[in-house]
Amino acid sequence: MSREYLHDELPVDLREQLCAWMDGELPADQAAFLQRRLAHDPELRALWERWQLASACLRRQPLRLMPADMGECLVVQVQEATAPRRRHWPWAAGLAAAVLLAALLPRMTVMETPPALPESPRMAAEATPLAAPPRGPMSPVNDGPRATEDVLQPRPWPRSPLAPGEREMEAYLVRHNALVGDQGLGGFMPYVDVVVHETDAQAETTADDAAETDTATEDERR
Amino acid sequence: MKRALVLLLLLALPLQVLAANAWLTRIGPALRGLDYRGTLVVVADGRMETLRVFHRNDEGRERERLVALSGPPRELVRDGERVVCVGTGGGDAAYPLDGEGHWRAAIALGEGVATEAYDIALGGQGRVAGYPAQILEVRAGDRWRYGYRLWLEQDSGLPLRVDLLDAGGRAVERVAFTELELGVQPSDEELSPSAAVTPVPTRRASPLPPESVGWLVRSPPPGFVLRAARSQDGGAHLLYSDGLASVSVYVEPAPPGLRGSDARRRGAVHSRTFWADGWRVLAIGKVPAGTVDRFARNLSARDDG
Amino acid sequence: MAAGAAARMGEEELDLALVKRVQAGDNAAFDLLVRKYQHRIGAVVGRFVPEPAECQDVVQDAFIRAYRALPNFRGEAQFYTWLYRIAVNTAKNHLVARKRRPPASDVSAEDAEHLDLASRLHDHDTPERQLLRQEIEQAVADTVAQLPEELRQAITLREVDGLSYEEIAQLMQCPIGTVRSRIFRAREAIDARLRPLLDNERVRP
Repeated sequence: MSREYLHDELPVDLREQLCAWMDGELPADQAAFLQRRLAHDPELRALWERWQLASACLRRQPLRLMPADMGECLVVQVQEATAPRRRHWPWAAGLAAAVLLAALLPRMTVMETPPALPESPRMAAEATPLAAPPRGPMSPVNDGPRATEDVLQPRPWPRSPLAPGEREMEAYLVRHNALVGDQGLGGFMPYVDVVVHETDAQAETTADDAAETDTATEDERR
Repeated sequence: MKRALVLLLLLALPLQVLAANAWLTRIGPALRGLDYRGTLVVVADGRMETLRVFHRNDEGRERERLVALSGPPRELVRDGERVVCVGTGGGDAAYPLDGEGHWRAAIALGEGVATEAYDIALGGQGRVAGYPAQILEVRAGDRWRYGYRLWLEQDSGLPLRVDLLDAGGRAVERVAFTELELGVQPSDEELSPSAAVTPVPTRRASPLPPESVGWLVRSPPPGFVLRAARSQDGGAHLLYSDGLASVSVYVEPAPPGLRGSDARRRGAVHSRTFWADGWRVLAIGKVPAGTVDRFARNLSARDDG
Repeated sequence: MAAGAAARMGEEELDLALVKRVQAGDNAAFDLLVRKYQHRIGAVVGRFVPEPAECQDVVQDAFIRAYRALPNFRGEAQFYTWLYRIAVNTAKNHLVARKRRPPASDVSAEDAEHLDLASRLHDHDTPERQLLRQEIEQAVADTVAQLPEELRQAITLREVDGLSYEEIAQLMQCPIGTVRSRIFRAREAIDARLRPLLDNERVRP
């Protein structure tokens, strides 16, 4: 990481105490001091919040992210019952601008039903990936693209170490765009796909890794 | 020589198609050569993303920067040979591209388009971001590729809006400028990354004549030909294209004794990965899922060794 | 005492200590409880109320109801179990008030935590937040995987296996002070990766 967060406002022993307290392992007198400090230190509270979030991730608990200021908002609310409710996600500014811009495009709305991915007939036979140089005739040429439902069915297998990670995928896409541009080919607005980051890995089908020792595999290579 | 041949080919086509193809050839030079600054909106999957776009070309040094305005902050900055990504899924990274970043003026967009793969025709007139535009219809001939509807700025040919179409002609993705300052030079500051990033370790890649690469895709979909190849890390990076749609196929050594597959989607970009026999194959491109699947499945070593 | 029970008691005691402080009028302690459980309660409510803005409102309502009900909480049950039930009831009431039917099955808190796979598949949160959550989870997993062995072991035994410092010290055959230090360094390493993701001032438009 190039960016350094030096915690220059928070002394290390204070952070250490918070860590132990979080696990219920801080002596009572130190705990009392720490809680007093927490009540008046937003940085320390933010650290608590991030550590709790990391803890939830480590325990693989299901999460849905709530706005950063929810705790403070609620405290205000319970103190003054009439306080108005904050509704929006802190980063809504960009979205508001986008909604405004959408007004300039009468036919482009966010509410459109998402169009279906191209339909395609099922492949007749499953071609073996990475066939070694074939000695005989190749498998029949396929009629149309593989049914996307197969491809898009997520299965609950543990993630294989050989499945490309987020960083790798981005590198492949960047290099792809670069080579496309280098050849003067299509790609009307290059690199937009890298930045417009829809949820990746949605269509993940990860087969389980198995040793390729069975003879069936050998035969397939003929 | 090549230009003469192309010119001859162009002359042989009916006037309408000639005019449409001529519009296609203006796109690349406009995108790469012009200075502009604007706001781009991307609508896909029922959602909308907004980007700020900056582009400048100083006597051949091309620089651009894309900044996401919606969602988590992220950006991509390109300066000639270097691409820097900040805040995108892969984490902050800089990619030195070893000469891959340049656009070569020799082959302009549209000249290499497989005519059997697309139906190209002029549409009507439109207006985008305050600029008059010529509409271009590019219909895909089969389900292996997307079609396009393009709004091209009248004077320069710069794409103002691009609709990506599926086999039924419906828009899968729409990208459009909602505001644009054409001819305006973005400042150095507007073209610099927001944060310093650590470079991704350079992977040595050397270009190869396509014939001498040890891998190829058997029976790619119609219209796709091998356009470029690079050897890399004991494997290869192949680029197949039909002139408009492109698919990259990466082959790399992988630990033996493992076998599996992976499929991803990022908007309209699909990828398909297989690993087996000590190799990993990844096909990626802005094409339907079935297409990358076909590329990845049909990758094999060349017979002639 | 069974392994892990001591640690869970340690955490449970911490929750109870915070609850007692809220009951005594310390609202800052309530803020800490909210910060600890807000995202998990978000996931719970999200199963009933998928729409993001609406879900947020219901989560806020749930915490307010919990605050108001706290004087009646005596510590008979675990605090989170109690909070979970309030959240579920708040969500159900919300749906009924809008004449919508709640989902047919209502899972217990313990079962719900193990349904993480299902909730990942059906997360109806905004794409930006889904993405951020994925990035956060990935950053945490990556950091832990890259930690030095002794740090990784310590934080895993603590968080995943739920062992107390005492139990970890026995397992790793080192002083408790070392355990405490290793867990601290692991958390710091994770936080270094996590903090930039949550810092929204990084990119200027």
